[in-house]
Amino acid sequence: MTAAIPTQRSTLWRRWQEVRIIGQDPVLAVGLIAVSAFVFLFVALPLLRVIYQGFFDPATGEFSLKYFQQFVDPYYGPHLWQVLANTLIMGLGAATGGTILGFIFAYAMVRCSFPFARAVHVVTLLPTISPPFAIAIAAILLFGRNGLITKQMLGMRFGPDSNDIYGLDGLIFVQIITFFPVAYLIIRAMLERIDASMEEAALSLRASKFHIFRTITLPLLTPGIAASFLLLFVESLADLGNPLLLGGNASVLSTEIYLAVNGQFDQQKGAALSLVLLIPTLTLFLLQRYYLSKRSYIAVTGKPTTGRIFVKEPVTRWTFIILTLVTLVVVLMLYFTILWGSFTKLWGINNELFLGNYAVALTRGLNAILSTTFLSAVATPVAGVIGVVIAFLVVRRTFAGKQTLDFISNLGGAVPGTILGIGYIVAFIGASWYAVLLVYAVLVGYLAARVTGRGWVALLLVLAATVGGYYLNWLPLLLGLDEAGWRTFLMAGFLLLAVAGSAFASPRHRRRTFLIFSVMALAMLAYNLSPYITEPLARWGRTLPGVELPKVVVKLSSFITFFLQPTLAILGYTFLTMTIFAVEWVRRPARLWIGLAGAILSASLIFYGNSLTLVGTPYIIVAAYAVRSLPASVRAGVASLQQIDPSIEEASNILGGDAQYTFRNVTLPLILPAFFAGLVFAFARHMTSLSAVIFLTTAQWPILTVWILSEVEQGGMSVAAAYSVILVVIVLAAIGLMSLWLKRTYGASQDVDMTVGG
Amino acid sequence: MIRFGRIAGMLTLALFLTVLLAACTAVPAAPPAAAPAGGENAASDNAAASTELNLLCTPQVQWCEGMKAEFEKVYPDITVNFVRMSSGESLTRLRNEKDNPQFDIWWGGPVDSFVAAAQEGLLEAYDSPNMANLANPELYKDPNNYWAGIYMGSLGFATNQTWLDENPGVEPPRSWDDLLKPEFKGQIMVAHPSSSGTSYTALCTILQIKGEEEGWKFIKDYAGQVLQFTKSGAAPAKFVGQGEAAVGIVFSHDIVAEIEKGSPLVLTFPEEGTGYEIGGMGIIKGAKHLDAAKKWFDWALEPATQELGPKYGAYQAPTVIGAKPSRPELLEVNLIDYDFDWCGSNKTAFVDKFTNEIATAENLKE
Repeated sequence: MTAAIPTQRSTLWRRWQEVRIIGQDPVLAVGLIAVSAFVFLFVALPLLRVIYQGFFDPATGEFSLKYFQQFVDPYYGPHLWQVLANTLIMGLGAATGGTILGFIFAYAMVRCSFPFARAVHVVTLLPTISPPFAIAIAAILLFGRNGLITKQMLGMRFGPDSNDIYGLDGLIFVQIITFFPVAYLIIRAMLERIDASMEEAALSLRASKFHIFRTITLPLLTPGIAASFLLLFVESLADLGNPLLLGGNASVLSTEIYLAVNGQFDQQKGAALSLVLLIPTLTLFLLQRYYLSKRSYIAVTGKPTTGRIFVKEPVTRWTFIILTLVTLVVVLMLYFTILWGSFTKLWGINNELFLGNYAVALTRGLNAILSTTFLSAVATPVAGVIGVVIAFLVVRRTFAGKQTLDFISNLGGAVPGTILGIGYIVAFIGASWYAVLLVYAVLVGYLAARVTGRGWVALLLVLAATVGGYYLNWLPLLLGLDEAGWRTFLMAGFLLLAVAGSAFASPRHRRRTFLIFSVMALAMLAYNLSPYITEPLARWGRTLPGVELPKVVVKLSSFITFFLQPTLAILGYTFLTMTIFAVEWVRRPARLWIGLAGAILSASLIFYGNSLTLVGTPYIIVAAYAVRSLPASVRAGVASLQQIDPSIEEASNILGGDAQYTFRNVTLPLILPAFFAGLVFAFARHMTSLSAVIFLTTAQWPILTVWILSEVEQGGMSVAAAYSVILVVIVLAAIGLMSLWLKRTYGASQDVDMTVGG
Repeated sequence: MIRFGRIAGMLTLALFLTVLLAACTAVPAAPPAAAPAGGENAASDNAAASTELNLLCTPQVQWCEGMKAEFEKVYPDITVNFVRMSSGESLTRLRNEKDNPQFDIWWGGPVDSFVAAAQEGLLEAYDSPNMANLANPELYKDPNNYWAGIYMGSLGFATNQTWLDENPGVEPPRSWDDLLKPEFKGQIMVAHPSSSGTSYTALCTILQIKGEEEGWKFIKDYAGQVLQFTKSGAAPAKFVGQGEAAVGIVFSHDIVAEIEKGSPLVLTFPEEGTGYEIGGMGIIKGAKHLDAAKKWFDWALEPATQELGPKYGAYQAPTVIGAKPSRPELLEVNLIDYDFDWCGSNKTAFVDKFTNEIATAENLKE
């Protein structure tokens, strides 16, 4: 007992030292705070709010287990258990089928010298660049009751009780086709890394082929197979688009949640059902992360092993090749159907070539197309930068909470999107003040620690900044200023700060200090001036001829507003962060006062009005996008950082480069190509997201995938197909542009790798 | 002592800085306010006319798109942004955004959702001068002016002609009971009443014709005949036209619109009476562009506006005097005396019952 206490203290002390070491480097520390704040606000907070919401009545605020009790209630119970059973059957079916198909593909590719490797590559690419329900649309067009194959080629009639594409079986089929490329990628990577020498050894000991497969290959592959099974299970459970289109009468959890939230306005029910969906998802996610990853028998070297084994018996080889080929043909046919369907007037009734669907899509859906592309593009660098920072911290630094940060950043992409979407509504419909304050407190606390070494002075500064910022917002009321006037007032404050800051800064950094503070002042000015740019622009746009051109110009003006008039809390946080950097160059003792003034002005922005009310703004869509693609960005960052030997960075350190210099001039150039390549994947993921943003779209910022889903019911399959083709074309264009740019900048060795996802 | 001095010093300085800043505003506040050229008022000036209108639109998207363009023609200074949502979804959105509304006006969809919205305080009363245009103010507007009726339409059955040709001897349904015939098993499509106002109108019609007890029994039987519940009310017409199902229960004007597009559909009505909807319109409480919303409200109640429908595939009957219905025959059928209040106030209970009981009915496919 007595011995335990000192160790505990020393652990704590060590943890504190780790934090202090990071704290000594403001760039690193601010990076850590910023990514933690992002992950906290947009992953942890919404998820916690959903869990909380499941237990509390939103109207009365009372604790209630209403929707959990319904599972044992004889009236509600049967339906809920049926839904749960459907969900699990769907998940198991899709995961089993998808994994088997993925394995066949991988085996054919790696072991059977498959002749059409390029086609397989295209197929693995397709699901990542097409809307999540594209296969469902194609399946209805081909195998529906009036489908090209079922009705017109096979002449099948669907009478009562006949089995058709609608319902659980059709849904599982569509999900297998949609998700199997993920399994293929995982298993293929495993298969390539198996050391051939073991199998060769067994072969020379005269073991039969099947015996080798059963006792060596399969056990070695088990972690990969299990991982892909779990991943597919989770993806299938999270899928919303396919069940909505094809579920028939079989209801699954994701659609029940959707109907509860969107149709019945029952957030508690939605949240409670989300929790039920979250449990299997989380269990599997944890299982995969902490159990399977430790069971991997293969050292991940990043490089395929040199020796390779090929299956030579024709029977085995051709079985795999033919199975793969058949699937390939089916998959390509499904995608081709979308293309074809988009050019027909009324599928199955009037099949003549028709361009009208595109005309409809490009006029009616133009706003959705432009908005989605813009928001996806904006979210891409956000996700990329946050991903690299997290990857860098995780790979190169030790600190308490590192595992948590890594875990939560992965969680955002792993949980079903609908759950995240509900969480966003619940958390950001009003300002969650405790969250706003928490993030603010961490930032201002760090600022205080940077400007003074004394604990009590720091504490006082935090207090003064908070109180000052809060009461500064009362001032415009007293002075009778309107919002624009208040911002002008703040701008004056920042300008003054720029002058004072540069006056007290060390001579070398005078200009930089001035620049940083005047950027803040400029941002306030731009905020006020933005209507003078956007309004005439929009007005001019409306006078333009045609239908498309005015829309484009008016949209352009809202893009400008997006940048110039961001949500005040975001602006305030950014200013606070900039202040932290700027005060580094200010000499003590003025540093304290400059820091305090900067903190007060930023706090004033953060505390103004409902500063973090993000629902209805485009920023929340950007956040949702970034969260969804974050795991891939982190993984890409980790992978490229692991390839760099730390000794290169150490060499730079020894030669006198500080941490920032080393990162800027050594690490960054090395990981940049991989970073840019990863961006394209993130962009594709954003463009094709549905479930996370379905509750977040607004009139001004419609989202293409949501729009397509409603067009299936409104404009018909052909129009929806046309939208899907447009979406694919946009993503392909992004991939093309990026790889072109990468090749020109970094030479031919770099290519866009779309396989980082999964 | 020193500590106290420091604290005091710091606080004084903080105070001083604030005062200094306040004092400074007097000087620099002037130029930026005057700086933007053009002499126009600042955008933040609330008196200035809105240049945007966020429209929550429930009818078919083609009509929404058309009305947006027509309105922008009349008011070139206003850009209309719209989202099409089914009425259930729309109501949810408005409830969610109660404290911070993103929409200014809600146009279209059966009025029972508007009744519910008004009861929950989501709508802003507006006594438009054009309310006088309404043909039947008793029926077509809220007594407290929270909503006004903008169109009317009856429920009908859409049957696929090709399917009828392939199944000789099968007649399109002409009564609600016909829907239970064995040949229609797994062939009927209708929307889910939780998201769609159309489907809820059908549900409430059945309950009114057959009485509650008998009605629920019927609904349970008929749910077993349904292939898939769609999200939006007009969607079944689309799917039936495509041949994915044989019969759809849809508003007759949506069926006419599909026939106009070339879908092989037959329109029939239940002989024992059919339900109808009044399409509503209401301004959202707390609308950020109230002036523009009022302009839309007035404009939508003009006869010329209401005659625009057919141009955009909308064949609903108008509600104002002076506007000619494009398809008068759609309302010349046996209409029941639809009780909007009863249906509106029981909506939550009925939808809840439907979701829990019907979806577990034993006769369902799968």
